[in-house]
Amino acid sequence: MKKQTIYLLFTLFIGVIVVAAVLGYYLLKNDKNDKHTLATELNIANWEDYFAEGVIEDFEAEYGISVNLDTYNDEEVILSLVQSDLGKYDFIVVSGLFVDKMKKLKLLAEIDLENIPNYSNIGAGFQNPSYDPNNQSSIPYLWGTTGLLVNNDYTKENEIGWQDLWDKEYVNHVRLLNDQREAMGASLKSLGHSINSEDKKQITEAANKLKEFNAKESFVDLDQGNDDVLTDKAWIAQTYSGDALELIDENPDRNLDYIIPEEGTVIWVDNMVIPRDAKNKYTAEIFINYLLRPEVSAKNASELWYANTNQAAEEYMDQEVLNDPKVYPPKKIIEKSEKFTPIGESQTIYNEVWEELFVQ
Amino acid sequence: MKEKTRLSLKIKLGLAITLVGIIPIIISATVSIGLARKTILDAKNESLQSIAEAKKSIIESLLYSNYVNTKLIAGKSTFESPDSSKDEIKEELVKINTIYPEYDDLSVVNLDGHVIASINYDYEGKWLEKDWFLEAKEGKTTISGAQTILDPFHTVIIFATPIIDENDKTRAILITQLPIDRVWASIEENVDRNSRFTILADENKRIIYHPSSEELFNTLPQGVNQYSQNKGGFFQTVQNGESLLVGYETFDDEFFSEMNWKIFVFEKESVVLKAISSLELSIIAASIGALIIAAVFGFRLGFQFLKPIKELKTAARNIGKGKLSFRANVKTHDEFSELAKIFNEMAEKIENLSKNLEKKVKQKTKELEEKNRVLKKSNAVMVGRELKMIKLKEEIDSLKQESKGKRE
Repeated sequence: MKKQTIYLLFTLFIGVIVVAAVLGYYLLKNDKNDKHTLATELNIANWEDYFAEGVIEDFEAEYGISVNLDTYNDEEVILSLVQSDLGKYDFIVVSGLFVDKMKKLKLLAEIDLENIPNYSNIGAGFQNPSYDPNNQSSIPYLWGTTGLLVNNDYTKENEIGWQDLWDKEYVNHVRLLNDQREAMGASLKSLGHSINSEDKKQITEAANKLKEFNAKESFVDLDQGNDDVLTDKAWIAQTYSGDALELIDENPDRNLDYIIPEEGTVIWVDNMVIPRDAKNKYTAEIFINYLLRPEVSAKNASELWYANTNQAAEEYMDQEVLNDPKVYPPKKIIEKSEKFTPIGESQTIYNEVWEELFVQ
Repeated sequence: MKEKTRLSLKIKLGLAITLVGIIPIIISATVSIGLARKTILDAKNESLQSIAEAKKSIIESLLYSNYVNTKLIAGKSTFESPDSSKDEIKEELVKINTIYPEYDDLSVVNLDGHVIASINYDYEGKWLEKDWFLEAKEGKTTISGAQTILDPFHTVIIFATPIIDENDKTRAILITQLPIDRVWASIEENVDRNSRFTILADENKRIIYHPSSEELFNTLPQGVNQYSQNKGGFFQTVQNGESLLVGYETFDDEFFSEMNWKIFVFEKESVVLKAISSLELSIIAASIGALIIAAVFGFRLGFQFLKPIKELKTAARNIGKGKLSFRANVKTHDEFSELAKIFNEMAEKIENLSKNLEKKVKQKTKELEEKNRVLKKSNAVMVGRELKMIKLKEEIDSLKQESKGKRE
């Protein structure tokens, strides 16, 4: 009788454990399933005109997801927006320098590469960047250069370098990006210094050189600069390769050109990232995977005239774009060019000299 | 067959009585420990909430005084005058910083969001993108949430106030930056032991101050956020396998309501319980003492109950040995004494019976002895006669012999 009781209790005990384990497994499984359910809505933000036409619409049609797109012209703006609401966007695009900043501020979610099998399409040279080892929080999108949109009606054809911005003939018709690092970078490069200089003397020298411009008029945002060239208000504008090349392509009757200065320039890689508290992280990952499809990626790069980090997309790309040395600069130029890196505590010097340009 | 272990009734009874004593002791000990624990934890929780509230008040008053200071500083004539040069403004800012060294940086920013003069120029942010800057432009003195400056990495609270010129127009904005470390220093009293720590979270549930800098800017753990939805209170949570007691308060003063910060005071439960454990130990010690007493008394009671049985046992054994006059001496006035009385009566009867029997035996013996004596006497007479007869026979025989010889 006693033995029977013990057996009964033992059986009951085992039974309870088995039931708990099975229940637990299903609960966890369901939980996992929930995380892998597509949302009906995706809130994203990107630079202005940074998706080819139809790319978003195709995604919406294929997945039945409605995409809400906000755009920006200044990375500081999107940084501020994400900082004040970590769950506002599910997807944004920022440069490597900003990936670095946002990671330091813990603003980015870790990306689950298992949901992005097309990650393998990205060229090996663009994977595992120094600002984001193992692409923990960022996936390369497109890359390009900072250069000059010129109107050859007014400028000497193909002879423009950074130094020429200070040419007496041009100086009043130049637009520089209203971006501390880009404008300072142009000046530093014209002086033969690194765009990431942390030398106070070099920084001051570069800033003094920029004082020759009328800050309020000359330092403008990307669109304004390009517009000013189109409307003949300016002859030369510091701009990004794709934006310039697309504009040139759209205005074949104008004598416009995109020039990568001989001194070398800024090369940047834009990255797709997911803010840390994104509400639809899984859907954003599916969206990233979609953007990395060779055909989709090729469409983006070809229409936007930007160089592609997606190697598998090359065979689908517009040959004109793929073979354009202004999109894919020659090795000689690349070797002389640099990427922006954090400048540490020299940032305060940059802040000071930059602000001085606007407040005389 | 295995022989069953025999437990003497004495031990059985002792154990039974002890057990009956132990159960209430164990129950009362458990209840007291539970009650003590609950009482102390409740008191601790309430005190954690009070600490959170006290710290919150300190922070609020610190922020308020900086708010007032910023307003005061903005009234300096150097700032108000349109004739002041950039260098003069900077000089004034440096001077002010010596009076108010708590500020990391002081800046005067024009309405376009460009810095006219600053001591350190360490804020790179786009002023025109910030609500608190725009509100200051509208004439309101504002406090930013926690703002992070990347290089060098630090977090500040920014106060922005309009600088009004003599025509009552906003000329520029004065910005002061109070490092969050300063806020922290104000509440980090020495009483904070390792076991207790405080964290501050902003309106986005992000940690803006934590003793471990790695936790900075992380979102509040779910286990903390879900229990802290009220204005204030306390709860228990488990973080990294450690059970924690938490008291919290919200910055709900009208003045800071937009900041909506929350302050949390954590204390490791294990440390609190350690304090409780000495109390628990004394309860356990007292219980063990009570258990020993229960056992001693139990066994003594057991012995007492069994004393009459022992007495009866001795009596029975003695009577068995033949000491029929032996009597059981039981004075318990219960069933045992009745039993002893019956036993003694029985013994008495046996003794009496035995005594009568002896008397009869003696009498019979006496009678037999008498008969024996008479028999012995008659026997002697008979033997004497027989001997005389033998002698006579012998004499006859010898006479016969003599006469025979004479004839021959």
